[in-house]
Amino acid sequence: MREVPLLEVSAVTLTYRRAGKSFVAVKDAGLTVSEGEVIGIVGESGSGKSSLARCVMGLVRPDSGTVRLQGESVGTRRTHQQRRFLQMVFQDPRSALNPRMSAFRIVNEAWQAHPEIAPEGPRRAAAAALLARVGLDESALDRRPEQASGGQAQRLSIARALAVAPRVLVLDEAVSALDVTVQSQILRLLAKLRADLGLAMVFISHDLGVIRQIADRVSVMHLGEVVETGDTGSVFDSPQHEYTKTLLAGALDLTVSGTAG
Amino acid sequence: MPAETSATSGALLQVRDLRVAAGETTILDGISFDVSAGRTLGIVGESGSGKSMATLAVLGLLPSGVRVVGGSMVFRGQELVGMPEDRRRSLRGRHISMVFQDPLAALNPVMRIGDQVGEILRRRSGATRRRAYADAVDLLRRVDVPDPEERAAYYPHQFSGGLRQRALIAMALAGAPQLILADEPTTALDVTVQGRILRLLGRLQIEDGLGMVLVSHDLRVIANFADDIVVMRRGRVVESGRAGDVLGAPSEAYTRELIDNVPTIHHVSASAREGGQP
Repeated sequence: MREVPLLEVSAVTLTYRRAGKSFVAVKDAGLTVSEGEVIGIVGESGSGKSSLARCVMGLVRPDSGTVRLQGESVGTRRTHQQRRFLQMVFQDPRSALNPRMSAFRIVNEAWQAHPEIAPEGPRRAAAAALLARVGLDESALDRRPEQASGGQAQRLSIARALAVAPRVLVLDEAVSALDVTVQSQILRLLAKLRADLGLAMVFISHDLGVIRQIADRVSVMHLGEVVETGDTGSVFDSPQHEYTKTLLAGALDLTVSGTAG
Repeated sequence: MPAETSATSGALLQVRDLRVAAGETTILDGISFDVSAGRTLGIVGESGSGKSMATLAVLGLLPSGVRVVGGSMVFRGQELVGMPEDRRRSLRGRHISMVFQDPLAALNPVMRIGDQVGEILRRRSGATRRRAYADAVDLLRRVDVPDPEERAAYYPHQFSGGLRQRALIAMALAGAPQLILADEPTTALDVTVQGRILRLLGRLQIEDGLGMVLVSHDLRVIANFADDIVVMRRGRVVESGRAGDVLGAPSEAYTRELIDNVPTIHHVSASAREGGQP
């Protein structure tokens, strides 16, 4: 008997229409995410990876296809519980978070929106524990995103996502704007959250190196289609689709050889 | 005298103990590097390292309120620090040119690409508009813009990101410079386009014997295209040297940290996957 995946996207097609023109952003795309699994979606700009994420989150209604959460089909109108199930983390935490709200208020607001999951005891202590989970100390409680560094702000947006006990995090270029040393800290944090909480992730990035470091499986998107899916190691080491080969051949890696000049 | 030193060392640009400040705040705290003809100097650093300020200082384009407060920058025997603005301006775009991250911001949106490249050619040679336009088409061909005759008549918005960057490189070449400063030239581009643009810059540099400064936050870019490397952090040079030496046997812990944190495609670090100390 097959285990019901946490998230299952099948045959999703999304067309944007404006001023009599139409553009197929996602074409017949599918995706399966099981408990504790990190699925990478890699592709260049315009490949449809963010549009697919918008379909998954219920922010747009696809022309056709289905999104299932633990087997249950969902549309754009979702219940409280369905909304908690998937949480999103964006590239720029400063624009995703209210810059003038303290970290405590940001977390507490998530609890107010989902009282069924809110902690019963003192909220500040619970918020401090949550921030500790993402590597922020208690002093961060009263700091606002505008006072935080890029890495700290991204940790806070992860904390806000975790506040409502999601099953799947959808991360859209969540480490792309960070310095490499901070980037690897956030990647390690995500790996730890996955290990500790069994949290599943859809990790979207244009950066092949980042995908290689974090994802168990990877889907390669090109012109709206998922052209190849497989274990990250096998896709990177022996790509099957021509586009994947082109992408990997074109990507820069850190090789300390005589390529200079 | 610095001018004589540079003439004998063979360096195209010699930066020595450069200090830049905004009021009381130190931005560059005594940095030094050389750029030689036919070589690429890669400057790598994280945000706040001062790497972009260093290039802006060389160009004489520091933001208002930010000033050079010490040190020297000698370009082909001429001291740039304290040089009058009109002379700086004539060096810029002619002997020293630049390629920035965002080509759309650097291109005139209402002017045809061929005219924009042509304008620089005219300024340099005084050629007629018609002649300059024809030369611009040749230059666009040289930077691998497909169908350059047709595309010279396009406006910037009709170009893709990669083509815009090629147009910008054509403009940078139009003044026949000796030195090109490229600050994050491919950061906004797709993975497959990035490598092509960097290879183009490398090819042009060899063909024309240009000195190049390549500034990037991405060590992968620097490692693949620089001959010499300067690692910057918080306004200082942490380490510098031949690319192979700096990357292969870094002498500073920070350089090692930068190298270790690069997400590589063909090797997965154990801590990244198992969730080590975040």
